[in-house]
Amino acid sequence: MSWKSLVTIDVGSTQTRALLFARVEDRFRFVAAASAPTHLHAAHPDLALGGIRALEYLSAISGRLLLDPQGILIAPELSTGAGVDACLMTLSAAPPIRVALGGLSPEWSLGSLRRAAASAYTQIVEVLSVVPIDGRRQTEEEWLQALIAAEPHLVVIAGGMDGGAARPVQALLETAALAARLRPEGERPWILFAGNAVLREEAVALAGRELPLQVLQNVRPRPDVEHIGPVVERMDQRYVERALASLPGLSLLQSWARGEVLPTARALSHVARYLSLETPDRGTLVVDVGGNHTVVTAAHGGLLAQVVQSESGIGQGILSLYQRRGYERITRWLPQEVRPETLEAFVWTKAMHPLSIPQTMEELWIELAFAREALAEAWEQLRTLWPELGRSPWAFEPILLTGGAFASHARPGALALVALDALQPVGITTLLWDPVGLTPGLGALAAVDALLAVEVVHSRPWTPLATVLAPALDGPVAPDELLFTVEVHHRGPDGSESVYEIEARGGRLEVVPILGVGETELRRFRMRRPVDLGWGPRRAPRRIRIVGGLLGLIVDGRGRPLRLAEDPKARREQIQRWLWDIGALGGGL
Amino acid sequence: MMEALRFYPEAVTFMPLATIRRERRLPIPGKVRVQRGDVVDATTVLAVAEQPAGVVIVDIARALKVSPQRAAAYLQRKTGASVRAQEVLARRRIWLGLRTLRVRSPVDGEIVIAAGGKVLIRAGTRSLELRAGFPGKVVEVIPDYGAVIETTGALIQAFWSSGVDFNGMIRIVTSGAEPLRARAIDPVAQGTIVVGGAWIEPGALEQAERLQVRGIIAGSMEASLLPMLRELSFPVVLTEGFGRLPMHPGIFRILSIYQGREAFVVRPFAGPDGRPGRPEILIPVPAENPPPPEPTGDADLHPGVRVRLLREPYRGRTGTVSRISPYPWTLDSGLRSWCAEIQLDGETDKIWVPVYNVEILRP
Repeated sequence: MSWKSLVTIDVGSTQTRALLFARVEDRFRFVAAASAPTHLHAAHPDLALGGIRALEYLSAISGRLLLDPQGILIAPELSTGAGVDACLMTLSAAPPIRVALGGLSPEWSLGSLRRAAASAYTQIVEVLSVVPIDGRRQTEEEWLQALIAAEPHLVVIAGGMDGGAARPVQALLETAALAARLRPEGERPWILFAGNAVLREEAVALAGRELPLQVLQNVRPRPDVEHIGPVVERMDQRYVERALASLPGLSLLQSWARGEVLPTARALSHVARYLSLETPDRGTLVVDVGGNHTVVTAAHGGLLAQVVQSESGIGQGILSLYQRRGYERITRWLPQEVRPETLEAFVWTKAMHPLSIPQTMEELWIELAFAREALAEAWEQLRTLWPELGRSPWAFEPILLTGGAFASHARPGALALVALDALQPVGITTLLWDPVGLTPGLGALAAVDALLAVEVVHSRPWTPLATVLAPALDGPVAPDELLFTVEVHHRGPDGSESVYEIEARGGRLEVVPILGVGETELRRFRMRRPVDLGWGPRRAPRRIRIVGGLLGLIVDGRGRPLRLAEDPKARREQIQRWLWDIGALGGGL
Repeated sequence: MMEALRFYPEAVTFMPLATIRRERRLPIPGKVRVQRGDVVDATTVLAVAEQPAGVVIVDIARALKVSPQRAAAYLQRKTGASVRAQEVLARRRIWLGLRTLRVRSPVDGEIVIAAGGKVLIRAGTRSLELRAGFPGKVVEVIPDYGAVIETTGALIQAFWSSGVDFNGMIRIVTSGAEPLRARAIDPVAQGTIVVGGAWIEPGALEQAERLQVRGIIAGSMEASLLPMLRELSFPVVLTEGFGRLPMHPGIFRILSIYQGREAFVVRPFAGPDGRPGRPEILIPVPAENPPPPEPTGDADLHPGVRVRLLREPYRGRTGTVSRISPYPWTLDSGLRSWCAEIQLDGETDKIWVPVYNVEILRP
């Protein structure tokens, strides 16, 4: 495709974000971003209105006319420079689809289906297992009753290796078909069959013409092989289909986007894959904390692991997040004392007015405490569902921070600390920051034009926030105990060189500004404790080339897992000190 | 110079007299029981939908000792037929007709599917009734789902409600922006909707329960009282939020004007995102011709607009917009946002707040 320009529209639960990409001096790059309220929670909801207003703002900011007098997107681009050649769209505003899973055993087929469901905008409303989950075997009639009560939008049946067990899976299929027939015709769930290939013809015959059944590749054809991609793809399709049917105005935006609507989580997974191509031995982590969803995506080699945590975020999802995590877990991140009544009033206000933002430092710390817990929860779930990822993000390079919680901010140190506290990376990594929310749009572009997407990725559209050096410790260390020293060598573009030594101390965050121009290397690590930076205890390469970013180099000597003081007053002082160390207090940028 | 942007924050309505039209919809298709022009009261059933309450599977193939494919030939009742408990569903003669195998229905119900050697009987249904919620006139029928009801009267959009739709006579028990305490609720309050001008004290909830009020409308309440609300027999409506916020004087004034009249608290159905809408307090009042205005459309933020502030340090305060910043500002918190300059009520100084940290008041 030879597009000169395009807009992407990301319809989120709170904000609709429009991005302009265009060819500038022979390079296709990100140009401008603007956002407007999604207009979903109004007396007369109209998502088109949110999209049109975002495009109006984008026109005003970029100076490019995007809408005609009737409020229709001008496409393709005119010779006057007005309009754009294409429009792409991503969506996370719709509520998750209700999904019922059926399989032979919790460890195998159902384990795979749970991973698939976690990767899409779904809510698991029922799980039918042939092998009892809690020691009690359910009858087919109980399965049926459960499916009727659950009212799913999608039922996925799996189980049996190819050529393996068939009869129990057939019973699950029959139950799903019976339950679907009981629903009115327009309300019937989609049924996906992704089990033993022997049963495919039988599944089709069972559904007949009146049931929307799709036969997919077996999710677990062999114990060591898993194919969840096709199931995730159908979950995405069902999510978009439900959204188009239930969200007013979405179909108008869809008509501009040539019919293609991509769930935002899928767009994020495209970006994670692209970024991981640059660091194939390390993998990439993309984290997105929004208003009602938190998405964590890890791409490493051929593995893509993703968790879409619904009812989690700093908008309307904050209420459920608070109910799940509780007062103690939220307030442990606060540098000030906050009474339960104050916190609860904050939560309700934010849930009812998700567009509102913190004006005071106190409210900012509360909101970022919720962002930490949203991220930590999704990260925990990712590690539970994909245990092969390990306990800690050792390998990931870079870690990309996006979503409403990481929006444009004059205290980037505060945002970096959110990622360090919630993810607790170990070793050396780079934090990339997406202050304008361009990642979903870039993912949408990657889905339709890989070359253009690569061109934009190579233009480095994200802001390098910091290089993080976070050692794993062999045990508790005393506060301020020296862990290691390292020399920072900087060579400026004029050939000038500077060398200085930094000390990593226990319980401390050290931030070293690194000039944005020239080259910087870490050399001569001298280990004072058997710390592990990713190469084994007391080991490190002779030279490590790093990029500085907005903050520079962060040496996180706080240890893993992070130990917060038990005494509330001491803990608040600890948090204050870390905020100070990372430059989040004071005047900001 | 960049063109001036327009901002559309949320708007909240409280009007002493307005034309009110509200759509009332079933969540699933059903049968509509009213017609355009019908006059309805709060309890009138507008539409009914039926959902299966439970199903029973009868394996006739196994009972008749035949394959599932052959079982259909022995069925005595067809799909859609009603059956009574112990009624014969299928029959097969064996031993040259000397003996008959019979399969009987274990329950009263309706045969919904007969396939694969099994019969599925829907044993009863659960009715979902959609009521009008407030008195008015049906001005539009939504086929299969419900109707649009119109009335005239006072309309107050509140912040939160703890329960279902309810109605009752308004009884003001505080003299203004003062907390609702137990001693303010006397026995005359029994069966009425008690109105307090600020936040609710815990003792007031206990007293209201003792006196069996129909409900409480107040400005605010500490969120720590939420567990207590679950034990109460009446709902609570907050107009401002959680914490200790006084009721907006305009809302208190409207409720005072209509003291003694019947108010209907209606909770709009969840929006397309699943989020429940704001609860609304409707006080029907007959209106002269022409009908009073209907609050519709989006209001944009511009000088002169009245607003309520949503976030600290000004939460709950009201004021008037004097201008909009032409560029985004960096706030004390470090976030960047377009801001509006607000003249706070009762103060001479003006303050700047983010444009989405306000809600427009449509009194």
